[in-house]
Amino acid sequence: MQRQSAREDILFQPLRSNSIGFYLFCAFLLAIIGWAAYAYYIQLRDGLVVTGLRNYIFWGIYMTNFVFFIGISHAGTLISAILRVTGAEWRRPITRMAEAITLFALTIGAPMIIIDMGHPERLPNLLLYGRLQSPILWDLISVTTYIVGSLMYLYLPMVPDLAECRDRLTDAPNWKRFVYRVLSLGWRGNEEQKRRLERGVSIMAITIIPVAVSVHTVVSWIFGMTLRPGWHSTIFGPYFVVGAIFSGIAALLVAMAIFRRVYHLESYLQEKHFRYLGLLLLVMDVIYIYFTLSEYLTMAYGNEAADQGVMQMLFVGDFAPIFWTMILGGFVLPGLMLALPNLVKNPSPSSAPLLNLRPLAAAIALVVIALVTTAPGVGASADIQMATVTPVLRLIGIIAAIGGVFWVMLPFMQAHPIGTVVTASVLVNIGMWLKRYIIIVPTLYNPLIPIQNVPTEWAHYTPTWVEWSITAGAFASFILLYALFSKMFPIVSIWETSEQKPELPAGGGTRG
Amino acid sequence: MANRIVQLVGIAALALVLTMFAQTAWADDPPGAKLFQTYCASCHGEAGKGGFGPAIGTEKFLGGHDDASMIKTTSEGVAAKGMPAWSKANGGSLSDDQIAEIIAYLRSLSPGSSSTVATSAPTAVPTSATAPTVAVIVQSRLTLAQATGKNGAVVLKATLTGEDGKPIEGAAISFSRATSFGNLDLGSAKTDSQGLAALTVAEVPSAARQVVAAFKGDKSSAASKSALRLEPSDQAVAANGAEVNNAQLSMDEPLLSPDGSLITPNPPLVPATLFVMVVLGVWSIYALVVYQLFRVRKAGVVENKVNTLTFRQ
Repeated sequence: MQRQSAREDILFQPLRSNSIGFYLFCAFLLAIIGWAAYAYYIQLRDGLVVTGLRNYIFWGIYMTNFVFFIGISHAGTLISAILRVTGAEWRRPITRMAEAITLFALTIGAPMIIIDMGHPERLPNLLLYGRLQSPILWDLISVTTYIVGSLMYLYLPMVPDLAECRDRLTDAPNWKRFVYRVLSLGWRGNEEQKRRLERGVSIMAITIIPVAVSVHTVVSWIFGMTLRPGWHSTIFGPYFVVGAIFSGIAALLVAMAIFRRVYHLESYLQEKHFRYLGLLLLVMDVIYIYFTLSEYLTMAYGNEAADQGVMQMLFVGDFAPIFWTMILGGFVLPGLMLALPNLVKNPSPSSAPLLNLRPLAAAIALVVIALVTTAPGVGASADIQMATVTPVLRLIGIIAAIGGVFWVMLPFMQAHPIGTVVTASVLVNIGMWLKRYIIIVPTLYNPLIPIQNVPTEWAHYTPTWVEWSITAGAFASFILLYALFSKMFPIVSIWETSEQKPELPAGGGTRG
Repeated sequence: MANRIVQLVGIAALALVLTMFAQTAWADDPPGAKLFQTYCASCHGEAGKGGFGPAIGTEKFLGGHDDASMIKTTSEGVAAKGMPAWSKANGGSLSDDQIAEIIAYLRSLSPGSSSTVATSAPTAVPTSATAPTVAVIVQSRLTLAQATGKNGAVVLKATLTGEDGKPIEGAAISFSRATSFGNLDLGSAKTDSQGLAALTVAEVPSAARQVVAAFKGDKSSAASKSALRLEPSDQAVAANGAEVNNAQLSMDEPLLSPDGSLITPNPPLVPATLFVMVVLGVWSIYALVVYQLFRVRKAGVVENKVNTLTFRQ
């Protein structure tokens, strides 16, 4: 017990006691989940007619959630495995958090498919009559493989910590101690055990990388293998994988910030972790913008009739507000937030009078943004009018306004690096959710065979309260699972952070 | 316990993959059965029980069709209903012998049915007879013809008559274009006192199109259908009528893989084997890791025993 430092005590604190706030938080989440369960009951009773899904637009925000959750599941495994394999030392305090995101995102994401089904009891048909040449079956197999793999990959490095819990948390309730005792596999930290566990961790770290890549590739192939405008694209595999890592890092950063604040992990999750991951996020952001440009430019340049329908909807039509919110707010803005504070030097104190102009500049910039976005014709025009002057002015206005906002915000962002990175991450996550929606729905608006023989309102998709409730329930379940996990197991790996050397510690048994 | 659970999950998942794979292997079925499974079952269902296509393995169907008509349908297809032409002579992938084997297999499903049935072979194929509780349901016959209307526009004329040849009035006839992706709605019209329903098609595309007229059936008459090959025309006519709905006609046929490689129920074996090997490989690695966990546990147990012994001494 003498080795127990005050720093490690912080990690055990959440496992020892629950505050009243925690119970209230859980009750709040359970209320949302209960409401979602009621919504799902309505859907089961009345069928998918209670959703906005119809014959032609048959995938909506359920599938958006599915792709989104599978995406952020890449937080864990891929990031933690890549950092582990490449021996990045700074990964140590964040790997467990990342791996837990993976497991819970998959636990929530995969059932979205079942919720999307009008007849969930027919799910076994997928196994009984599934065709091996169908990407749907590939998806089932790879997601199953990934869930099991990430469960193992989360569990393996946790064994020494479970032994710590078993030995230290002797005053825990019996069921908790039972769980620790069983899951710690009689860990004593002897040579044989260290060797075996190290081998297991290394094997899993290498194996899980191709498995994780395959999962999101296969998810993309569900779309990419379909001969439909906006989906049938050769870059969809890497595009989805990059997008998954992108949103995964963003989700991880948000989780880190929350745990840092709630569990007082400042000594573990330092500014450098946010800075490093922020740079990684910036790199993925740039790659993702590049893929997005490549994808849409290729599609728009071809000018094929079917593609054109989707392009029109995205750039100037029904989906333009979402599309441009996603591009500007979800990709460009976070990119600038992550890049500029590192590129521009701190303003010198002598320029203080200039700082007083910043509120004025902010006001001007906001007015410009308001004028530009509400100017007549935005989103209403049916043509992509590249030749007229108005869009050019609008573009310059938007750039100037964003520049103004950044000029104003820069000192603030430089003073709060963690807050900046986390805000950017939240924006990225919103942007990536919208991106999945933008991938799925506009294509369904443009079937190869024209929409016919259905009421006209079926040609449009608006999510109903049932879908929004179940979506809220999915997010609440994810947060609840994650919170409960952090109350049950140390959210930061103890043995990996207790020593500088990457050596497994001796367990409690040899300590006496 | 945990590793046992992981093992069980692994075994279950492997079993699933293997079961699916096993489904693709055919036992000692007659050759026709294998062919049917490969080429026909995806539409007509297992053992011809029906699916997207009609149930052709039932006594009812086999009793009403002779071998000759079944061979003819299989060889030449029924474009209007999405049945491909299968014989090599018609660009399909089956030889005449193979088609005969498939028919023989179907016959074996219903031994009682005679293989030579005298049929009147109506132009209109009666589909499902609706409302069987009503005593008098007259078979209906639909014929479809092409005429020229104002400004050279093409008029589709469907005539609906009862069994006795009398015209059926006031029946809704829907017109559609048949494509390999499904039917495109062209519009509908009601029959007049002569049993005639007409739809004007203002623009005739440059390639031939398969057009279908269908009558859903009502209380007293059974459903019927008729197809027509609309020949291409040099003079495309501008649309000016109110009842015109023809964008669907000029649209090109979506391109489908011609040999039906996407339709076969069984995967090509070499890629499938590779796929299964990769999946099994990953799960074997998992098993290896679970084995390491098992050894971790064993090493802990051994040490505990050693400790206990030391303590006793």
